[in-house]
Amino acid sequence: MKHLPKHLRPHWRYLAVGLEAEADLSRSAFQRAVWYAASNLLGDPGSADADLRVLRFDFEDGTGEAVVRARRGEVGPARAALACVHDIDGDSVGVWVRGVSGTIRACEETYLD
Amino acid sequence: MYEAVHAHPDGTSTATQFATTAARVGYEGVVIRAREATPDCDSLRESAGIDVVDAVEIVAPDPERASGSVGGERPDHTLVCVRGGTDRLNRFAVENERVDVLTRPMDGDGDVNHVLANRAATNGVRIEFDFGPVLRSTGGERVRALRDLRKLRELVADADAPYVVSATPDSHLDLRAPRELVAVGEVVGFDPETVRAGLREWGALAERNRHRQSESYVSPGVERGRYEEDES
Repeated sequence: MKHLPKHLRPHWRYLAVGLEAEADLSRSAFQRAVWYAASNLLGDPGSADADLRVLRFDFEDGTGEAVVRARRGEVGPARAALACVHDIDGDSVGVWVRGVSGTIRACEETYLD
Repeated sequence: MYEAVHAHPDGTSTATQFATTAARVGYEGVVIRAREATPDCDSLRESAGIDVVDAVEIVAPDPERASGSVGGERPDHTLVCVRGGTDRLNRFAVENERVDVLTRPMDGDGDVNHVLANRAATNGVRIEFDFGPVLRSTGGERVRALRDLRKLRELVADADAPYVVSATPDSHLDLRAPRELVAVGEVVGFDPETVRAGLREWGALAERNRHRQSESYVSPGVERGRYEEDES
């Protein structure tokens, strides 16, 4: 399908997230946990509005970082949903939002190592 | 802003892990609410670079035993919290001026009504909003926790009772940043400023009690020290 004109494309915000867990985490498990947390806390409409997606994911030796995309204007609910991610496949996990940017590049350069 | 945590052996993470994590995610201090734990708050304060408050949480089956513990622990700790969870314990805590915080009042069979909220306001006992179940449970359990939080919020606002906010973490992985707690609060119906004030209240309470325990303090408004020089 033809791509949308610029003024109709959605605006995004990118949340840099720090992760910590005792077990190994995979990107798909984290994405699933984020979706579940969002739909449990915000409901289906809220979760669709926030439209959370994990774009970058890196996890090694118990710590990691990720970039999670949310719609502009939904950063508050996105933060709340991320705060409710506490358990991934039975292992507890710490999730902390380091900062929010308007582009993936700025997000990585400012908040990720 | 401060967070009140359960450190090892009450929780799974050590006081050091809590203090370093809390410093990293933007807290100004942590309150170690100990039952069995005996953290060395002074050295932690230096190593983590944030304030570490020595507190005790009294978990007793009935008010008679809680009363003995409050009297025994009050001189040794900066903050004294009493775990609620039954109507009698909640009543005991809000009627006792020596208690700083009533924690988890809606836990289990516990309930709070306008009488208790008014007593808490009169006696200056802080009522805790426990965000733990909102963050870490799902389904019916979370629905009940949210219903209880809403009731408590309305009662506290009506009585203008003092309050604190905490996510009651057992592990440093369960600790959440202040902004995250504000965001969660907003989603479940709290005013953002209410959550921030509740997190700040732990620090204000610690500062007040430290001042009261200092040697120069005699009673409210009366202090031992030098007279101020008159400007003439």
